[in-house]
Amino acid sequence: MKVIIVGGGRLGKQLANTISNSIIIESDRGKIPSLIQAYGSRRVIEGTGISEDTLRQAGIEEASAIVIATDSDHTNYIISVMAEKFNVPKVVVRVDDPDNVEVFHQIGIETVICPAIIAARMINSTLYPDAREVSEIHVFDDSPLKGKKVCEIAVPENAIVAALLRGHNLIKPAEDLVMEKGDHLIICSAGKIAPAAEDLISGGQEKLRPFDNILAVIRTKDDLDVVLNETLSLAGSFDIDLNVVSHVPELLQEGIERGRETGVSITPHEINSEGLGELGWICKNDLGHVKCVALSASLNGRSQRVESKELVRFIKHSKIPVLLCRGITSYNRIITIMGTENICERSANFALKIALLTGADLHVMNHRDPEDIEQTRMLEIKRMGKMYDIKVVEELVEGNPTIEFVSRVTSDHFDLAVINWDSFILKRDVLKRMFFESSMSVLVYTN
Amino acid sequence: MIEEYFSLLIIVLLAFITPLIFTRIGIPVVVGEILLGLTVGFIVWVYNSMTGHHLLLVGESVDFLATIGFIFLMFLSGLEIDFARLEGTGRKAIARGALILIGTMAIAYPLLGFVGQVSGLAMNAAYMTLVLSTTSVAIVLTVVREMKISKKPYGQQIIIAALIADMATMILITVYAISLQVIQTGDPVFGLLAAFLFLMIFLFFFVIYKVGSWAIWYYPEILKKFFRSDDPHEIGVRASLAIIFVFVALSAVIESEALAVLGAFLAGAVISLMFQEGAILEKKLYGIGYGFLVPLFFINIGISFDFDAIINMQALILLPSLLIITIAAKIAPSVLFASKRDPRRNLTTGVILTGGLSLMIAAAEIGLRLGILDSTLHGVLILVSIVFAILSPIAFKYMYRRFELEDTG
Repeated sequence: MKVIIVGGGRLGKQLANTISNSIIIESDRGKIPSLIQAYGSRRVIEGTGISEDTLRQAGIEEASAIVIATDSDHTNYIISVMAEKFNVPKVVVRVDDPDNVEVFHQIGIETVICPAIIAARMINSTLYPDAREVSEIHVFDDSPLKGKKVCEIAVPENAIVAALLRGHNLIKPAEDLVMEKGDHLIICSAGKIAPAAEDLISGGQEKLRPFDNILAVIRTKDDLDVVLNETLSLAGSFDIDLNVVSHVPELLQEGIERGRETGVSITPHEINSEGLGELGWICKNDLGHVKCVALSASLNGRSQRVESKELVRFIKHSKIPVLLCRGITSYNRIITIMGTENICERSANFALKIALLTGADLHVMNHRDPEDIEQTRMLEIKRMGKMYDIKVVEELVEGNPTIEFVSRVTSDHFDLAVINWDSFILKRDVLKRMFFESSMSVLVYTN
Repeated sequence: MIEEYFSLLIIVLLAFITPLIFTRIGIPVVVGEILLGLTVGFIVWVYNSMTGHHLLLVGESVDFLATIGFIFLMFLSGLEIDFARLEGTGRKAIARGALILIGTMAIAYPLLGFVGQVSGLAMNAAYMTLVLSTTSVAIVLTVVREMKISKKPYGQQIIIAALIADMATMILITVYAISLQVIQTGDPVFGLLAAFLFLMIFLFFFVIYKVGSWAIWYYPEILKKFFRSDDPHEIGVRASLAIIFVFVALSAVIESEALAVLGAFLAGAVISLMFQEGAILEKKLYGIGYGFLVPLFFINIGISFDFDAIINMQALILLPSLLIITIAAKIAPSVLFASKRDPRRNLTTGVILTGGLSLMIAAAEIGLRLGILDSTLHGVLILVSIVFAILSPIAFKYMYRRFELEDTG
């Protein structure tokens, strides 16, 4: 049995010790002398595993197995593809980042070994040989766990914080370790954690809600189908308080009726005019705690220029997120865009929370400097997606973000776009078009 | 022609070594290019003075390329304008920037008039005021980015003030230069044509912007190619060059260099306004500009510098006078208007705003070609711009760090 080992690090050497005829490929010239000393020059090849010539030299065409164990997931990926090309019967790959495991599975590699996952499982089974459940808790920006020490978490009696994932690192949870936004706690329990205790740990499901209440604005009869139906669906699914305002008492009455039919309780408010100026005043003074305002995205004969100007003024002054509705009662695909600015993270946060509650696929267009390797937020989103079984698709934006975003939302079907008005990555005049000319609902907010 | 190739070789070699030398000693590369150009120009001048020869380093072809470099530089300055940030900063910051500029002009004008009278030099105080009021956005941006304050309110205030000074002085210089051309020709038809073209350039700006915004929504698939790094035909670069030369060609109708400069600046500004974030296209355009054409312009300024023009008593009086006037005219209004809260920071704002390199040189060139400035004033203005380009970033960094240290205790 001919075995090729790519990477002469600790794992590679351990394997070479146990597999007598194996061939080691190592690119680091400094390691070659010690490898030759240990295994002889016939078993050591200096070169990179991503070179076809080197692999041929090692005899990949006749090999019955290849173990790919360099310290770069990217390099391992390329070698895996090449090994598949050479039809090596058995391919075993070591992967550093747990999030990359799936990528290797997708290209047909069945045996993927991730030290972090193995370590976590071992810690779990060592600490709790009887553990029956492993729960994961994500620390959101607004989570009560943020800033707390591990010892301050009110973990149920039958459970323990087994590990903490921070970025790519698996951390042993020391008692005085302070939790940060984006941390991912792994809780092991001897039995099933009671839902009430789970809520206690995670800070309750309300932290997963993008907003606690919605104010639906009904200006015309059509708005009952467009705005009210969309917000009724949201309120019904997430247990969100629904307030409805209108300057027409009949519309308000019909709204209450529809709420009753769908089992959603509506709090009605009558206003004097359909303009957003009065609405802004009401939101601040009468209602005071409105978390999201839902409006119709159709113009109903009004001028787009005037409407968008009024809308932008409302968003800027009230600081309340606005949902421009198109009567979509079920969100299946949500899109957002993230850039290098920190404020863009909030878009991703909003979009993620809505996706978690609706079960929609989340498409995150990621516009980052190629040299910027700090991708923690994206990693967190993917991790949350996995945890809640949400499909998260990351799309890297190479060119102009506005054009790429427009191209994406006009060529493909999305139900909701989540956009930060204050972000500089999207052109505002194009955003205004998107508010009124696209076919999806748009959630727009300001900082 | 062969001699021109040699000239080009010397310039390209200088352009190559300048960043290697000057980035190490912390002097802006553009300043280094002028300084090296001046050194070569000085050697030639000494050689010519001693031997009586008329060795010329720069011929027509190099001069033409340098002019294209100048236009490209103005285009890149326009491209630097971040309209989204300008819009997001609010009216107060814009008003403060405008007040600083008006204050600068109000102080510089009488002082320049006084210096003109005392020195006995025929100096156009109004035009000189415009030249000294310019601020280089490129220098300001480089420095605030280096200091990592470009996104802080204080850094934003500085950028806005520089942007306003840059745009307003550019337009005013163009208007002034064209008006002078109209007066010089004495032809009312030419005047009407100039006014028509001036309006046409702004109309084009508006039309291109509107068409671009419309196209982004309706034809994103086509426009995507403009910003892709793997486009083999570099269609984005070609489109940008086409936009530049639409503006420049319009100005060529009345042979106005000032209008060409404004046109190139507006071409850059309209691309920035239209697409907002076009990092890859910008990098490609920077490659063409800062890799070849712009250094050619700056080195050419140094090489073609008229040393005879500044070796006289008038230049000796003018140089310190203009330095003092620029400092007073930029710092005093900054202290008064920049912000109510922190006068020390306002002082540092004034210091960084004194750096007016590229536009100051551009205005000096236009002034010389139109006969508004004589060669002595032109030479002194170039020296003034070099002095400030070197000193203002250094002084700003020193003062800012000191205040920061004092604040943090």
